[in-house]
Amino acid sequence: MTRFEKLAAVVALALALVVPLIFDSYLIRVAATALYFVILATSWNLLLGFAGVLSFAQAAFAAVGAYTSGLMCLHLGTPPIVGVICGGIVAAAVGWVLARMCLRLRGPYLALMTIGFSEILRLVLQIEHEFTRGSLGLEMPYLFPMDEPNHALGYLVMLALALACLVAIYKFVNSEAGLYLKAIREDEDIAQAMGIDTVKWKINAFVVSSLLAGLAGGLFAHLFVQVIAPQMLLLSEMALILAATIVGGLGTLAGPVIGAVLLVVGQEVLREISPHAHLLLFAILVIVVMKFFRRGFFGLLQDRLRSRGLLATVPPFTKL
Amino acid sequence: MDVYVLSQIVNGLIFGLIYGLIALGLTIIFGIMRVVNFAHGEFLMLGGYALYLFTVTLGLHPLIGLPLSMASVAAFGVLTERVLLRPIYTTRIERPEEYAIILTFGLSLFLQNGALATAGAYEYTPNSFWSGSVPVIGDLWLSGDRLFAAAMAVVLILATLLVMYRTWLGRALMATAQSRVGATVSGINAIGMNMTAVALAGLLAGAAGALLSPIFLVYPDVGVVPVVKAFVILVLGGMGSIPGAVIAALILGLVESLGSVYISLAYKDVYSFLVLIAVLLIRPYGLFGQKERRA
Repeated sequence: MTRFEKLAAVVALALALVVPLIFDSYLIRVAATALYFVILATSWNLLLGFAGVLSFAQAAFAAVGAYTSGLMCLHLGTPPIVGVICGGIVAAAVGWVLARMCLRLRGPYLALMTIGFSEILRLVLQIEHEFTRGSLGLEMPYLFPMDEPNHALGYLVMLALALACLVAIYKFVNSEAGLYLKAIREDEDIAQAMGIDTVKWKINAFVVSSLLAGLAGGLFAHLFVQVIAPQMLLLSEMALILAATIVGGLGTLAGPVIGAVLLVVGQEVLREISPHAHLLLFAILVIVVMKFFRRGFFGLLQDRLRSRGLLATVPPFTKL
Repeated sequence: MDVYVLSQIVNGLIFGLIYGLIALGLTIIFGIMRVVNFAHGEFLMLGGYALYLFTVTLGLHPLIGLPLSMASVAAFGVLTERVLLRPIYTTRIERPEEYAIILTFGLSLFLQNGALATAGAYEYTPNSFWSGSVPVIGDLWLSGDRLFAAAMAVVLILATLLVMYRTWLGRALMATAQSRVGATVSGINAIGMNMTAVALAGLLAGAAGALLSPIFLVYPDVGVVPVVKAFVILVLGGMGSIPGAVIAALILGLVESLGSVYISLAYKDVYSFLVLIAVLLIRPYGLFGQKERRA
């Protein structure tokens, strides 16, 4: 990391820490939503941005985490914290099974499978309403044994998970494993010829990514959503995660963070026009970004900063 | 066999035929362009809205509205190809598969929310092709719209097969699917073939959307569940195999109807996913697909 990068990280963290001090309860909730999307987009970016694996199930894994925890609280009476951890583990396990089935095949199988998985899981959650409460919504007790939900505390918990997620992914992509993933993204045949077990590493990345999504889904549901419904699995939720990552900058660490913040700000600003206006805007942005500057907003910034020596140089991979 | 089981089987076959229309288009696009069109469900939706526009707003006869809807969706498909997908072939683009999937997914999001913004979250009912019911076998009655949809689907599937296997255009399309370079060397305009493939797929998706709309009405996310099934058919038939898509569509329709009779009706839409899992575990290259060979 260069001095500039460290400075930027410290400023961003300081800004994030100031949020609960100056904002009211509603805005803290909005900021926590941004953190939720930061985690989901960052973990999705590990797949597409670093390993070249395209999944449409990130929102579904968040829902797996949330539903596992909520159902455990409802039917077994476990404390929410235990539920959140189990939710993460279940999401990781489901991710492993899906990845194991699809990633040994080349081609768009995983994309097709994950889109099917999230749609079908949504239908099953609706059909089994006696067990899952379906569209009525599953109540999620507050994470801590308190009478009143405390949004500032909840925000800090989400911030801690977001930081842990960013640090974990920073370490992961800058380790040898990260090099394997990038090699797989650039050319799977050559990576295989160099002795990388490409299937194993793609599956590993997938499991890490679904674990993070499952934890984020469970925590956010217990802290802020309070009542979850199968709508959590609509493809438009997945589209938000995809849009945040692509618009922010695929394959960079800062990109998904910037994208998620932009997304939530856009959502709040456009809410007055229509509750779906931000989806339309982000759909247009995804198409424009993919077509004209595939490295996203942060990618545009990156070139300027890098030419001034402000960013760490990266190994000469091909440009996105 | 009691009437209920029979009606489920007949309905299963009818839906199989409609899925066939959707999956056939998806297969043709994938075979020729190596692109999975994630906006295919929205092509279906556009077909439904177009039929509403032509029959209710403009007051045309549904039999005139149907070809017009098909043509509109085909025109939209060609536009999509021209604006969004052509760079894959004319410029050197990194990771074209990822580019195509994200762009078509973005397009699908755009079309769904565009429909929501312009038409609203209401269900529209286009004019019926054939109102009333008809006795089919014994006590089994079917609504005219379902029968009409099935008959049109058979006609369109046969016409597509005829074009693909009996005309020079079909031969050129197949040649492009087998080898773009080889086809270009033989004087086939491979870019033109892309356009033809998308237009053909648009005609079929537009027809499926228009035929389904009097039965299930039209709303912004009407295409999502059918297109997920078409994805399953694409994998089950073998990615890019035309006969595979037709046969897999009928199989899926039957699996759904038999599943609803003998297992549970509520789970009708879930069986397709079980089929997908089974295919990926047992025969990942599908019924008619070839084991992947890479140069």
